[in-house]
Amino acid sequence: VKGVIFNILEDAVTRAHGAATWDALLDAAGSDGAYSSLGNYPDSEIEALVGAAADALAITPEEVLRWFGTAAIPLLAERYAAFFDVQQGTVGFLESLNGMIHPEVRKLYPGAVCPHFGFGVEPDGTVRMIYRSPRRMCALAEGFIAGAAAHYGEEVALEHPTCMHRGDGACTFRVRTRRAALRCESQAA
Amino acid sequence: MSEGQDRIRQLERRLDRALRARAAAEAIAERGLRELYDRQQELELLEATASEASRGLPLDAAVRGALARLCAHGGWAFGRAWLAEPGGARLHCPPEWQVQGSDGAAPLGAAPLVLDAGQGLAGQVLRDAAPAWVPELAAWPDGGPPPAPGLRNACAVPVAAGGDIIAVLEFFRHEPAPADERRLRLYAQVGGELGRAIERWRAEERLREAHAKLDIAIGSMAQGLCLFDAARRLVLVNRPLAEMYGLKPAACAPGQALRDFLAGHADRFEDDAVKEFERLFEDALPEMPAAAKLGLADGRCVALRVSRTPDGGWVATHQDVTAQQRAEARIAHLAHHDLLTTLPNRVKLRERLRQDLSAAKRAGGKLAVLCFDLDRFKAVNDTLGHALGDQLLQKVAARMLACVRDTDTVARLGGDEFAIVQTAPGQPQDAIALAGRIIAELSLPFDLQGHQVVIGTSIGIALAPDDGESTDALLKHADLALYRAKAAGRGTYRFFEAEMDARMQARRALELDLRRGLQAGEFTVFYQPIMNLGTRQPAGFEALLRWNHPQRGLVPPADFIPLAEEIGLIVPLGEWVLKQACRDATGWPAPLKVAVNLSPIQFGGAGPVRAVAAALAESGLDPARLEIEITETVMLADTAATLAALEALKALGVRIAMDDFGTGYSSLSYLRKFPFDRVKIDRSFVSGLDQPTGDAILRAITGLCATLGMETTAEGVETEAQLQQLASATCTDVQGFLFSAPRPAGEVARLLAQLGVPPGGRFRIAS
Repeated sequence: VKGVIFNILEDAVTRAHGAATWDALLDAAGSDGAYSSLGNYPDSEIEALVGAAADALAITPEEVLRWFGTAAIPLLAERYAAFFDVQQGTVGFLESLNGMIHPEVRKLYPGAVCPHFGFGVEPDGTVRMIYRSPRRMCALAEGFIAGAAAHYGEEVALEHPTCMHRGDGACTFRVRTRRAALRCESQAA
Repeated sequence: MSEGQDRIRQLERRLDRALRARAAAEAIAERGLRELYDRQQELELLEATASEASRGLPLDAAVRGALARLCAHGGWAFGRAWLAEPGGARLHCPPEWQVQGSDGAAPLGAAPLVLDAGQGLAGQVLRDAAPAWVPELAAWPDGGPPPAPGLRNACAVPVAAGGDIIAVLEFFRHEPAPADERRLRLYAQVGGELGRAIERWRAEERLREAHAKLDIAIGSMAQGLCLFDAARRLVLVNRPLAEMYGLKPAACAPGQALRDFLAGHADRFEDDAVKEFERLFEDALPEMPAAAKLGLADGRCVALRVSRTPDGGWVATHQDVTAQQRAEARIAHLAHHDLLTTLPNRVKLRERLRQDLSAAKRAGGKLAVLCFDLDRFKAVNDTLGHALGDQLLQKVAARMLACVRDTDTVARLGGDEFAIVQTAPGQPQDAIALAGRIIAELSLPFDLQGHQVVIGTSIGIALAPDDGESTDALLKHADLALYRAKAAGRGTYRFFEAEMDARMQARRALELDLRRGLQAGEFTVFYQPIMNLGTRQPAGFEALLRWNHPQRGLVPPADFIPLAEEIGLIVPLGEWVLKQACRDATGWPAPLKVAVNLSPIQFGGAGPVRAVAAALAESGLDPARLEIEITETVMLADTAATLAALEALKALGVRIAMDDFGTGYSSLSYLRKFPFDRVKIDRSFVSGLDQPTGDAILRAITGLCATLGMETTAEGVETEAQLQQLASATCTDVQGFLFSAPRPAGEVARLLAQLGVPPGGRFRIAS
């Protein structure tokens, strides 16, 4: 996992719960916490941190990841505003992952292993998104989708009909968005 | 622990984390920068190789440049390049393809190196067509010894062009090093660039060679050549053309228009030749060049040929044919003239005669053909030699030319034969006058280097159109007239007369008839008895040839023997007579002899001996019963060979008789040269017996022969009186109509019965 993910996690945790909570998480996970954004760290470290957070909050690791995904989007939008600004909404943003965002990620972080998403549109306009990765971080993806919808001021209806954690070969997300009227103002603020 | 202390410890931990994260980030950044630098270096390396290759450097420089850059880039102590043979069986490394790296520690080889495919590191790379890296040479037994002691690490990459490995790059260093795939890939890329460069270089080399060959070929053509493009602008002028016209380099500058090019050199051509030159450019069609011969102002002649080129231009070739023209003119002259006298020869004479004939025909005029034969020329040649003979012919030619007018043609036909075609209208007076002039001129003595030589000429004249209207007829008729002139005595002329031609025709008909007759078996042998004056009995018969012509009946020998001798038919004819006579004689009672005449023509080499021997062998006749009669003419010919033939005949046991004795110039001398068995006294002496000196001459001959031990036969005995005189003159034998005319073979037995008389009795005369 790239160091930048750890940096964003630290940022999200610190903003939501304070620096002491991050220190406590590091201690609980047995990590030394010196993450450089350019570095590359074993998957086990993020799993340990997620596990420690789940224990502390008495929730599942999936729920931690879902929260992290949602919380990471505003931070990512601060750092990489360009990727967000060129899109009009959640679906456009999701569709630009394969073609624009991940290639840029690979430029900045040589050796980064980015997932490739499959996209399709159902007759009713619902976007079907396929995720397949040995890391099986579909919950993080759910969080990102929710975070993106919030960023674009949209209401999203997300289904997860197939899931690798439930023995499926891949995870499927069905995404339907609708522009929210006023709530977006309050959320963006 | 106080809350403040906790707080400090907490902050220290966070600071420590931040510092370590920064250090890690810096390390990552430095690695990234290094990598960036490496990439930059690699790119520069590839760029340098590619740009150097495209700059058209010589191959050696391009290879050395690539080796030096790779040595510097990879820190190699030594690099070299191997060139693969076509087919890839072996590698060659020239000394100039060995380069030292920065440390300069590895010595360069001075000699070219050779490796088989599969041998050593470079050989393996050639065989496998893949890069190879040897971390430690000492641990790689297949590699053989390193190029210099102490070299431990090596790598090699193939250089490919057009799908083939054309070279291998090989590098060495003193420190062992693990395989560096990335570097190998880079080197392979450099190899690829170099391969393209070598391929291009080879293609350019081939093109250069082709150009060089073309330059040499064009420059060393025998012909001059200039090339114009489709817009008629000069493209090139080859060296021979510049030399042919004496053009300065500036005059040959490409790009000038055809018209300007020609205008600049117009003074070198004869009038209008430049226009002709330019016209050829109009006339030349694709597949159909235009050609012409142009005269130059200095007298030379140039054959010009203009062809279209595939790109719409023109190529003009120029050949100086002056020498050829002159040679052709000379050959034409030689073909029509006599070398010795420079007079027209027979070919030229016929040509002129043809022209003069048609001119005369148009004008309704006449002309004369005079044929000459020099009298006594052979004697001059034989006694004074050919050189003076040739000189004489030249002087004769000069005198003849002095006698004719310009419109007449004097020709030498060969040997001492000359001819004149006289175009004067007043015939035959003009021909008579000319013949008279020439006879007079040529009868005057010639001075040949102090020798006063007198010859003369005989002339035959034919007139057109009276004696013929074709060259053949006129020349033939003049020739016939010449024979008549010669027959009439030397130093005279004769006109052709139709009767001459008739005789010629008759002779020709007779010749054909003779050949046919021999084939058809029309010849026969008659026999005339020879009576012995002592025994009064037939001593034998003379065989005489007769021609029993189906239309003309019996043809007398005098009418055909001379012709048969002339045309050589006498040889088969004579042999036939010989065999027939021998066969017939075997049927007669011994010791009756048969006498057979041999013509002088038959006396060539071993001919007569072989013919006589064959006739004897075939018939089984006793040689002693055969008597061969020869005339004095035989003795006149090559005496040594003739005598040898006579000796050989005599050795066969055959008797030899001298026929027609007394008619030749020096008959007596022949008797001294050869011991004849018999002398036949010519009939003129027998018929002359009634004259006062006749008897004395006869007695002198018979007396002489008796003294020499030769028998004598008198021919042409017709009267009793002659017989009595011959008997008293002690002639041995007699022959003549008094006893019998020549009779066919079938009548010999009857003749013998009639003529046979008892010894001592009177002759009986056959009826």
